[in-house]
Amino acid sequence: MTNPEDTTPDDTHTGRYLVLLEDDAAAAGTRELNRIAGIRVASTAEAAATDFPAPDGVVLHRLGVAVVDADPDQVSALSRAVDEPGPIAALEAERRVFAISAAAEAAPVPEVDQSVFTWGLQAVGAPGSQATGAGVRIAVLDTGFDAEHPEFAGRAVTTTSFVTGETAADGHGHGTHCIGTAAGPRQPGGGPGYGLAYEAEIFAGKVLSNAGSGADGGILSGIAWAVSNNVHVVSMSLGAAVAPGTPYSQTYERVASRALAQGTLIVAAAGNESRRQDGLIAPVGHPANCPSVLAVGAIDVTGTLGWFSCGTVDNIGAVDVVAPGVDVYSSWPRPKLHNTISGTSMATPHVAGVAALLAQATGARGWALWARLEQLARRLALPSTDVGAGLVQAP
Amino acid sequence: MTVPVLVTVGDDALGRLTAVVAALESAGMRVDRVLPEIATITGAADQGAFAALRAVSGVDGVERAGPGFAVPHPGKGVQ
Repeated sequence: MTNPEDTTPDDTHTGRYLVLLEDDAAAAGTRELNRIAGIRVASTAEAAATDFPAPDGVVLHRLGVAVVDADPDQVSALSRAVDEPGPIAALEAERRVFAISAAAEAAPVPEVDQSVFTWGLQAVGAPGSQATGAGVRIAVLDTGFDAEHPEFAGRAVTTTSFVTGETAADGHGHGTHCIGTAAGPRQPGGGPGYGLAYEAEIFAGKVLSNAGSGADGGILSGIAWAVSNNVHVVSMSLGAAVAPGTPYSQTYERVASRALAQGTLIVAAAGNESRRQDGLIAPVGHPANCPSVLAVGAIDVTGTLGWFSCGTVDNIGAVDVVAPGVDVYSSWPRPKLHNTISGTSMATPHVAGVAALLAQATGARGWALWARLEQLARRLALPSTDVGAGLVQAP
Repeated sequence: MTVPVLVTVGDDALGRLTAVVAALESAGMRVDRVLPEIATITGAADQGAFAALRAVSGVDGVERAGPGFAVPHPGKGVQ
């Protein structure tokens, strides 16, 4: 962390400050900010924080972070509070964001006709690739799968539920959407092709309930299941937000490293907690922040970073690559069949699908497959802290 | 307070996982899952027992499990 007291508005900092609050202490932290520094902040959920509604700042409840204006005396008071017991855990200068304004010229797909293929498939160069994913196993650990979806008829699919009391059927939709992008059809017979590794063998592990929630035990069980089935690529469009400076999980790091050594690459969503329109970049979430988990950010059809896409904000957790994650069309459980949604959850299976194509085309596994993904990625004129090696490309 | 816990086992101890599990249980851990493919054991333990779990021969790391994961309702916002 830089010394917050030295910060004035410049090219890299906004002049505002991020105040990290202790776990579950947003309300107490809000009162403490006012008590010790006279800072008044609005207690809104971050979803509504399109602009500062209060004079001094806003509290982002889910992140446990307040973004505040503070003069030097107030900064000193806050710095003292960090060192004392109480709800204020850390203070740092807010970083300036360049992504959105810098993105316009980097558009990889300026005008997109989606009648044959989704914009996402086109952006990663899938239509021109000879690879199909045949012989490659891809696991999606998510809310399950609608295995009776008509556009997956005849596909090799293995499903297992790690959620107590629920079958592997997808009662949410998120899992079926992610599987569609990673391994769904190229010629579904109606509407655009949306699947990358369209001949890959699909392993659908349900680790998130129909309500969309899960825990470490089920997710690790899903990873173990994938490894024991010699799956080549594991796609995890899941994560938990972390506060800046939070160490990554030693357990997941060791698990991911061991999986890589056995030829299984784990790809995970960077997270959706940024509010880039407000200048806020949230750190890569758990478990994507582990060095041995490939972290995926999201771009839109113009090549602009998704406003929600998490970034590299400290020395813990780097965005490794980006992929299409805004307005992504893919499969959805019957009877709806298709849906168009956004998030780093949608970018992640694009990377997993491209990885499966690369695994087939090159024979690369584990760390070698990771290297191939980054080697082939198209560099973008955006900060590496936001996009890593760039936009993944099919072989 | 009993909390969910994740235990990783060193490569050198993978051949005697059953003994490691037994020793963890003796040290106060309730074991839920043994995952040999990723050398990980999940379960629950009192936070005061973490030091004893770390002292078990073959244990590589002991960590409290996270609060959980969630994706939003399918009709809502960013996924």
